[in-house]
Amino acid sequence: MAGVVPTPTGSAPEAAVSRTAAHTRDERFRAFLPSRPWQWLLVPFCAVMALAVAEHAAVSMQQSGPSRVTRPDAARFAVAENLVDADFQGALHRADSDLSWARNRVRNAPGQWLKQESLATAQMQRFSLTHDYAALAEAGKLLDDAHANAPAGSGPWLRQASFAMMTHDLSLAEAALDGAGAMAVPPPASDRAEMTAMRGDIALYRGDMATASARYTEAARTDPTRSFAFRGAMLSRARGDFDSAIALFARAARESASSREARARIALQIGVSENARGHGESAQEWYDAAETLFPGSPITMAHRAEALALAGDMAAGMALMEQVAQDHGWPEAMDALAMMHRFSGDRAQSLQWADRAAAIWGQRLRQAPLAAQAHAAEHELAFGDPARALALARANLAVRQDGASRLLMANALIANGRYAHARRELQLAVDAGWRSAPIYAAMSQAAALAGDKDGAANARERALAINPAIFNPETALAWFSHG
Amino acid sequence: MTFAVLAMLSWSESAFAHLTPNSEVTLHLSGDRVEAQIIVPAAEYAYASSHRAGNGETDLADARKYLARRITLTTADGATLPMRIDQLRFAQVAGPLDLLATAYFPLPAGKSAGPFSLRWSVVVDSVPDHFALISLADGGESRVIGAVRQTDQNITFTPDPSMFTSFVRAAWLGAIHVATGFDHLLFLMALLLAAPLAARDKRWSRVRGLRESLYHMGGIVTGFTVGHSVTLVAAGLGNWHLQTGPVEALIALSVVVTACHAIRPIFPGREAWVATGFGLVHGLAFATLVAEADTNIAHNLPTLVGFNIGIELLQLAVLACVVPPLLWLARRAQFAPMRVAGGAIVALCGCWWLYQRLPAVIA
Repeated sequence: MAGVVPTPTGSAPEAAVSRTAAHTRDERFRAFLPSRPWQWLLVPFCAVMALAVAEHAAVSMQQSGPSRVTRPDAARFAVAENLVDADFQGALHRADSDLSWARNRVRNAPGQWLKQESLATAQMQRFSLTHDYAALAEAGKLLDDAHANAPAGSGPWLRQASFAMMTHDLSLAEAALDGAGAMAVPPPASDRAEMTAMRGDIALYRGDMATASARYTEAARTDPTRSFAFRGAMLSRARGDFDSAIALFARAARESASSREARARIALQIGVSENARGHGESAQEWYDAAETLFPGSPITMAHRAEALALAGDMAAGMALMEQVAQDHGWPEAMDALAMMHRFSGDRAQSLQWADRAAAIWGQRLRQAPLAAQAHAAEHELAFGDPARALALARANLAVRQDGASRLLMANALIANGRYAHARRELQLAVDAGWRSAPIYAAMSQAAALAGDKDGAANARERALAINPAIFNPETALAWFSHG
Repeated sequence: MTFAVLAMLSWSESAFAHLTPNSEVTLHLSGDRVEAQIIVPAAEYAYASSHRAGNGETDLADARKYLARRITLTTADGATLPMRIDQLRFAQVAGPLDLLATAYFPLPAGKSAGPFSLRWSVVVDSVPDHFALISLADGGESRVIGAVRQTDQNITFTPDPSMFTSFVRAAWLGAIHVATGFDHLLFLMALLLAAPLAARDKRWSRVRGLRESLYHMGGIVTGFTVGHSVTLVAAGLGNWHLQTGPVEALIALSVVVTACHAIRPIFPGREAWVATGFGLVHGLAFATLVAEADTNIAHNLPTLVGFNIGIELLQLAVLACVVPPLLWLARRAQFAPMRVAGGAIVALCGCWWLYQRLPAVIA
C-alpha cells in the first residue's frame, strides 16, 4: 500500500469534485424544468388537458358498458331428476302437508318452542310460494310464542332473523342475530357463517355496500363449504356490474340451489339483470327457462307476462298477468295489470284492478307494514295519492336506505314537486355505490324539472349507457323486473 | 328448510316506481299573444279522459273540449285570456302516439310584460305520477321554467328578462362567487404577497420600487384574469362537462404552490405566467359553478362576460383594499415575518382544501 496516501475528508480537491457533481445534478434537474416563462404555462395547461382526457375516457368507458348477452345455459341449469318438487303445485302441496304435520305436532305438544319454530318455518316456506301475508303474520306470532316458551340461552333466534328479513324489519333481524350469538350452545360454523352473511344483508339494505361486501367475505371464510354467490350477485347487480352479477348467479345455481324452485328463482334473477341492461329478449329466455325448471310459479308467470308486454304482445301479457292476479290474488300483479291497461288507455279496467290492489295493500300494511310499505308507495304513486306515496316512501327510507328505497323516495318527491330534495336522495344513492338505469333516469328527470338542462342530459347519457331502452315508454310496464 | 334457502327467498322484488311518459308544453311569447305548443302522450290522455285517441271528427272534438276545460291562462290582474286551440291531431313524433295541439292566447294591449299564470289540469288531475314539463321559448332555445302535477297545477311565469337584467344578474353571481370562494382570493393574495419583492440566490432579497411593484402586480392580476376568462368562456360555450373534484383539487394545489412561493421564491419573475396558467384551472371551476347555478348564463357569451366582469369588479375591490397597505408594509422591517406567517397560513388552508378534495379525485 506504499505510496497511497489517504486524502483527508473535506479536502479542497474532494470538495471541488463534490461541488461539480452537485452542479451536474443541478444542471440535469434544470434541464427538465421549463427554461422560458411561457413554458411554465404548459404545467397547468397539461393538467387541464389531462383532466379533460380522463373525463372523456371515463364517459366513453361508461357508454361502452356491458353488452354481453347471456342465454339460459343448459349445462349450468340442468335439472337433476332427484331435485324435489317438480312444479309449483307440487311444492305447494308439500308446503301444505308440512304445515299440517307441523300444526299437528304443536297441537300434540303445546308450549314446546322447537315445535312452534317448526310450524313457523312451515308458514314462512308457504309464504315464499304464495306471498300470503296471513301466513307470515302467523309465523311471527309463533316465533314470539316460541321465544316465550324457550329456556334462557336458547330459542328460535336464527329463524326469527330470517323472518325479520322477510318482513324487512332490520332492527328485529339485528336483535335476533345478537340473540343467536349469545345462545348457551354456540351455533355451528354453518350457522355462524349465515349469521354473518345476514349482517351483510342488513348492511346492504341500510345502504352500506362496503360493509355488506366485507361481511359476505367473512361469512365465506367462516364456512368455506357454503356458497354466498347469490348474495354477491345481488351486490354486484346493485353496483351495476351485470356481467359479474350474472356469473355469480350462475355459480349460485351450481353451488347452492338444491331445489327446482331455487334454480328457477336464480334464472329469474338473471333475467331481471338482463332486462336491467336492456336485453329484453335474453330476459324473456331466462324467464322461460325458469318456467321450464319450476312450472306454474306465479312469480315466474308475472315476469313472463311483463316480458311479453314489454316485447309488444300486450294482449298475451295482460292475459297471463290477469291469471296471476285472479288465481293468486297478488296486488303486485294487479298493479302491473292496471299499468298495462293504463298504457293501453283503458281507464275503467285500469282503475278496477288498481282499486282491488289498493284494498289488499291496505290490508298488508296492517299485517306487515315494513314489508308492504314500499310496494304500497309504488301503488300510490301510479294510481293513488302522491302525498300518501311520499309518506310511505319516507317511512320505508327510515328503515332501509338502499338504492331502491332512495329511488322510490326520489320518485315520490318528484311527484310532490320537491325536485332539489329528489336530486339529493339520488345523489346519495350514487355516492353510496348504487348504479342503475332507473336511478340515472330519475336523476335526469329531476334535473330537467329543476331547469338544469346540462345535468339532465348528463344523467340521461348515463342511464342510456346502462340500459339503452330505459326511456322507451314501455318501460313503465316493468313492475317486476325494473332491476 | 335451511336458513340459507330462506335467505335466498327473502330477497324481495324491489319497488321504486316507474318512468311514465309525461306531457310537454312550450310557451312562446310575442308582442300580441302567448302561444302554447302541447304534447300529451295519447295513452295517458285516453286513460285520463276515457276518450278515444284518434283523428276522427268526434275524437278530435272530444279532445278539444277536454283541453279547453283544463287549460287557462290568466294575467297578473286575474283576467282569464281567451284561448283558441289549433292544429289538434294525434300523431307519432317520437315513439308512441301523442296528442299534439297549439293553444293561442291573444294579449290585451299593455299586458305583454306579464306575469302570467297557467293552470294546467290535462291528465295530471287524474294521474298522480304524470307531470307536464313547462318550457319558455327564447329565440331558438327553450328553457324549463317548471312543471305542473297533481299536487300543483299552477305555474306563474314572466317573459324573459332583458339582456341588461341578465347581464347584471350574471355579474352579481360572479362577484358573490369570488367573495365567498376564498380559494380564488387566497391564490391571488399569495401571489401578490411577494410581488413587491425581487429574488436573488433563491431568497427574497430586495424590495422593488413602487412603480416596478405596481407593474409586477398588474401583470399577475392580468395573467390571472386572462387565464380564468379563457377557460370560463371555452367551457361555457363548449359545454364541457368536467368533474368538479379534480378541478377543485388543482385549485387547492395552486393555493399551496403560490403560498410556498410567497415564503421562498419558486418561480421568481414568472408570477404572471403562473397566474395565467393556474388561472386556466380557476376558470374551469367558475364554469362549473355557473353551469350549476344557471345554465342560461353558462351557455351565453354576453352573460358569461357579465359573470366574468362581476369576478373582476370584486377582485379589483379587494385589490384596492389590499395593495396599498401591502406596498406600505413591504418597506417595513416586520414585513418578512408577516409575509412568512401569511404564506404559511395560506399554505395550511390550501393543504386542508387539498385533503378535503383529494378523496373526490381518487373516487
